[in-house]
Amino acid sequence: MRLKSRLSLWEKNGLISADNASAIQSFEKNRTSKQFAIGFQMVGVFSILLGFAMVIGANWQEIGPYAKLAAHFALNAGLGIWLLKLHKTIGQPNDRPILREGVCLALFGLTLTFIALIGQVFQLDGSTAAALILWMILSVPMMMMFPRSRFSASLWFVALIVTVIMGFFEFSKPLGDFEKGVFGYFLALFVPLSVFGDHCMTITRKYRPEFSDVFRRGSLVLLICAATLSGFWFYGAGNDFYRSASHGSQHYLFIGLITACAFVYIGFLKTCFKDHEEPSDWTVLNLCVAAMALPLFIVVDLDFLGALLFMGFWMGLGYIWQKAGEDKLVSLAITLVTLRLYIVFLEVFGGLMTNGIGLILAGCVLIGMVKGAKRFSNFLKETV
Amino acid sequence: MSKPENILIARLIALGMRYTRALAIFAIVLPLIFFGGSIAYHIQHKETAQSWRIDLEGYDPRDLLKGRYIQYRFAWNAKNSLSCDMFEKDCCLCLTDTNGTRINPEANFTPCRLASKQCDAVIKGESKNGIIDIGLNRYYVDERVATPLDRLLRRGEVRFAVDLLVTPRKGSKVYIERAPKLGELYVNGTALSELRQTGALSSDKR
Repeated sequence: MRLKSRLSLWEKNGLISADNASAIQSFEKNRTSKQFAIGFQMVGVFSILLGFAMVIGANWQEIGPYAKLAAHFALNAGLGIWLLKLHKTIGQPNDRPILREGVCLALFGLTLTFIALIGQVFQLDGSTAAALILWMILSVPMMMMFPRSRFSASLWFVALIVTVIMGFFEFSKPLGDFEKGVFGYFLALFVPLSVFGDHCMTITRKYRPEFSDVFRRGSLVLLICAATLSGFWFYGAGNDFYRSASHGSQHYLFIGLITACAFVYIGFLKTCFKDHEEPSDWTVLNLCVAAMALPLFIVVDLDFLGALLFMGFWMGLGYIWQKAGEDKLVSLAITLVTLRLYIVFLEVFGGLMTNGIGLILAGCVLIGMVKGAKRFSNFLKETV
Repeated sequence: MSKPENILIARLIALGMRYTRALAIFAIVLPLIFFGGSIAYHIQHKETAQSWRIDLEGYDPRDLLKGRYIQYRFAWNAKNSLSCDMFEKDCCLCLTDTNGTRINPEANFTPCRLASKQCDAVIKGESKNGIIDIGLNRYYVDERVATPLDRLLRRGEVRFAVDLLVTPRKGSKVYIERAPKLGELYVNGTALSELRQTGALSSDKR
């Protein structure tokens, strides 16, 4: 419906002809008609994989351990050969993209269940994080080579992030609070930045456009979330991180070094990929790195500063998106800033909430602020 | 495409396209080679390793069965009170075959550099709150065996033990085992596999 109303708006304003509008509508209808079938088939593949994992987890011992291993090996090898055959048909009339995608995802999942089975049969006491890291290493060539769909790209991206988070918690156990904080800060910056770097690569954009798009969006979302949470964390429990450094200069040295490396890396990407289709991304990346680093540099025990940084960061994002014409994201930024302002109001005048007057005032202020934010949003839109 | 980096990227893409079939085969074969190698290594290790039967403890019925595995603690038959804390990271578990059966052997905490001269088998460990930890604390079992094992335990009459598989001594040379593996689990001296075959662990028995 949204497309229909937009097309009629464009048609009304003489931007496109009636024929164009009808052609676009039928093209989009045809393009999205497969989504239902693809989506449910992918859910089917996921369900089969989950079932497999559960059967392995049950450790049913009527089947001997070596028979289980041999059967799983044969299954993986068989799917691998099938995938190679399907890959060969890309671009030919007998190409079956949905089947190819399903087989690839099944092999991806079965690689993890095989790791679990080996651990179970030989009673290996490895951690879940170690199994996930091994899974990612073994499946990276496969996932970079065969799948093409947005669904596979999103699944792989989520698996990567889960692996990084679990790996961090598992392998940072022996580290002290300061080392853990520095390691976490490094990962929070460089994992999304590396994924964004992959999105920029010509080979990814040309041969796997869906992957490239998911990598771009995913890495930006991650960085924005990390930058938003950075202030919350540091002005909450994270202040201990600063105190855990043996000396203040140690804290500033490591954080400064990692932050500088991040800025240099973004500059390097910008120089190498000047033809990047979304120039506003570079500003967003730089703003995110700055917003993540700032709370770690301004070490004061003041909650209000966290709120200021939050609002400053989201107002900055709103401004960048306004210039890039991303009206939905602008609305998101304005809403978040408004809500944060409201929370500041509650924090400062929270005592009034004990009586009805406080509630009435809070309600009036909220309505006023939302109205004001809407007007401001409209004003910005009109200026563009 | 006139800039040197663009030419390089174009060449790399051309090279990748040329060997795309080989890359695709590599992507499929890599995990299979790893799995095959891993299985072969573990089978070979199981066959050549020496097994030492160690008693288990720490069976709290509330924590015993977490789905499909048993969590335990080794009940080391320690004769000396030497703590590993004083040796920091140079901490090993020295197994001595006192009765010639390798069942419930004497196990003492010793600095690794001394262990190789005095012990029949040496396992690298880590001291955690005065308790030596060799990194193994779970045993995978069939989910249907879980309940009978729990019941046996709650009766308080059973003794659990497990085979620890370590690389055997070669002449005067003792290998410091960094990743020992687990063999058979024993319930009151009977192997779990035998109990299953005789039906003694059937979950429908009351």
